[in-house]
Amino acid sequence: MRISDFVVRDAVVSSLQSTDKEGVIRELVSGLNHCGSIKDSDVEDIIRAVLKREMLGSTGIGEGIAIPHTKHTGVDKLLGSVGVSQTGVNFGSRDGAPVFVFVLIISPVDQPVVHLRALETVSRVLRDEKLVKSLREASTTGQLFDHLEQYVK
Amino acid sequence: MRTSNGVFAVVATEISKKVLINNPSGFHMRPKAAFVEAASKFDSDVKLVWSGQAFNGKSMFELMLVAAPQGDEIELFVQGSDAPEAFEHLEKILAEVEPSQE
Repeated sequence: MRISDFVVRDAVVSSLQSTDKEGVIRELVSGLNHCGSIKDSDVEDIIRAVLKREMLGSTGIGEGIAIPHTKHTGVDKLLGSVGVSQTGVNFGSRDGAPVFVFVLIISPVDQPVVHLRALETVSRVLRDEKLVKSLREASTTGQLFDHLEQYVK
Repeated sequence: MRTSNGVFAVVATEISKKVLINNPSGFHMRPKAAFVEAASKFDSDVKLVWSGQAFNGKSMFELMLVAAPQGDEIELFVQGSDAPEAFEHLEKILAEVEPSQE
């Protein structure tokens, strides 16, 4: 599995405006809605589900990275988006550091293996400090996605 | 060094066991976070072996690479002065079945 297989190019946000957790999640889910990947009627419920998951423990895994996620009946295939914050967002990460790179994952409810592999794939990619640096420096969504698409490891 | 007798056990206890993943969601992010948090409280070295690869049990980033679904086995290795206590605790987290909320 490659990260560019499920991250939707047109949903990527190279410069997040939000400065808090809910705002970031809202921006990322809205991005997937605006490009037609999720229905209008599912937007609020997906935002709620992702926030509910955060209540159980932050998906900030450290090193400035967070992987907010949920499983939802509104998707029939794995969907992802990436957002970059220039200022950093307090996401309640276990290392206490602000988060700059977010990867949102929404999986179908009946595919636990796909969900696990998506999180593994994202973590593998974001362990590469050089790639993370290039994502943070990308000035357009196209550039940001190209970095992900060209990443091979 | 694998030893379980006498005073040497205190300094060099290593315990290992294959643990079956029972959780319908697999070994997903929440149990991973609980595992790392618990493992970090012990002095012992903690290692997980899955799919032929070894992962540091005290690193969330490394455990994120363990995509073990329900029915897979993960081998847990604990070595150090507090290994028995650590092992008991960590095995429980690995084998736990909790309702999926993700």
